[in-house]
Amino acid sequence: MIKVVIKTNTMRRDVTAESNATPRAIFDDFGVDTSGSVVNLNGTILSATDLNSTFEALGVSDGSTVNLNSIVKADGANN
Amino acid sequence: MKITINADAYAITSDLKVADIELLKKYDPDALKVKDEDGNEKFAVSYQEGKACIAPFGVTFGGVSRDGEGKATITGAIPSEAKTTDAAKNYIAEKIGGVIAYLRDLEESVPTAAEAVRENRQSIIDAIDVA
Repeated sequence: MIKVVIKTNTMRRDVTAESNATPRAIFDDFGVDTSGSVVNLNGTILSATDLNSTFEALGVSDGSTVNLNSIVKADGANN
Repeated sequence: MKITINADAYAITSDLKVADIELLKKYDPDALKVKDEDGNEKFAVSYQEGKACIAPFGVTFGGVSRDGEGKATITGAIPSEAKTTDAAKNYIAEKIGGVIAYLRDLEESVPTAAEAVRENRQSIIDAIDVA
């Protein structure tokens, strides 16, 4: 089991999940639309393929806590 | 909950049944979780065969008891540094001390939630007409 701290521009939520869950499934559970946003796991940017990979496959081990962020950057924002 | 030590291994046998956990994972996952007032999950229990895990925020059971009751179990190794029985007991207390209160709460509430799901499911089945 892992703890996932989800952060978007508008919310922050702590959830628990199995290591065979995927970032996409977690976002879907909370109705977070990731299209048009930059998603990162502990600071590492996730590709569309990574979103459908299990946390285990992304290198997250059981018992750990990870930050899963989906950030929408507004036009004109610097980097 | 029952904890036993045998040689260099320990086994935690919960009062939770694997069938109840699997049922609730499918039909009422929130019943396996403890949440705070903001909806953040403070603790959860789950079952994944062969992949037991004890963490401050949740317990994943990895096995089933062999007494026919289907209780959820965790089996682990006692480190070689714990040479005496007291040291082994202290190791286990250290490992599950932070989660025991949550586990006991869920051991009381989960069977009731699982029973409610079964009754609901059975009422649907009973209401189905076969033409």
